[in-house]
Amino acid sequence: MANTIYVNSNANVGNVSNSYNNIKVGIDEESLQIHEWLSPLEPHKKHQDVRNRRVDGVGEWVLQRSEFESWRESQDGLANHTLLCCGAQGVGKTYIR
Amino acid sequence: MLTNNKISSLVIDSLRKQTQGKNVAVLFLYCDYQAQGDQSAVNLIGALLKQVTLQARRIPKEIKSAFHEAKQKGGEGLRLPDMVKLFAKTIDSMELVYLCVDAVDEVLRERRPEFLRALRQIIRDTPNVRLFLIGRPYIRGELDNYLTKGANVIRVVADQKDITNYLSQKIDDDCHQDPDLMTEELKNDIMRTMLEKASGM
Repeated sequence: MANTIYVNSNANVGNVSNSYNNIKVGIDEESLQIHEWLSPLEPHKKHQDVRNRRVDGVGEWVLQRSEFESWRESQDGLANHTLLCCGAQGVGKTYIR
Repeated sequence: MLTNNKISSLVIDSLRKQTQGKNVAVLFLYCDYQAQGDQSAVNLIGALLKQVTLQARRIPKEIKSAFHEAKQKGGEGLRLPDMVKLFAKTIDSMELVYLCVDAVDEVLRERRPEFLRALRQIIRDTPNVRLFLIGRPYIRGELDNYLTKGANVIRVVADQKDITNYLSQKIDDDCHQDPDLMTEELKNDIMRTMLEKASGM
């Protein structure tokens, strides 16, 4: 969202503050155009939101599973480079009311 | 509580931490019912490339030249096959690319086949990609048809330690808000009842 607001505001402000903004955020005009051209989706923002709501320690066991480790370390050219994780949305929430 | 997207965020963070400073990219998508309008296959693959550009110090030359070419043709967006090709070309020089897709079941049903085919092509054409998918169990058959046949599967179930961690944090929050209402006895009582219910599910 911030990018969009920033781009809109560009249309209304002069060159001086424009370049000031660009320096401040460290992204040039063309990069912003390229980001928009590639996709309107912004998964990095959702990621930040989700990681902020995560409770420490919860779900850590997934990282210790052998399936996870062998997927992470798997070499190029091996048959399977895909790992599937299956769970209901809100595991536990359904059972704890 | 332990939701799928929290697992995804945990996986992403741990991969990022482990690969820091290496020629390895950790890319991800969070699919979401609420954003189904924008979640076409081309936008999803495009979002992966957007992350590559956000993480790189400068925009990769492959992306830049594709952008300039499109600009000359009137600034149109790429079509899916070209976006997939551009993705493969851009990540070619990387040692490893971890690709995490959260809540694949939340992509609109009509759009899933196209998206899953694109992922399949990426997995087949680019040996340096490792794909991590999360979805609700009902989607498994569909995923198997496209790309997860023979893949390892982790089933996420409510883990007792997860529940304990979660509950004690929530109870602590309540204690801070209403210190008079919560006692140690009540806290233990809540924990015991919850864990009994959860294990008897």
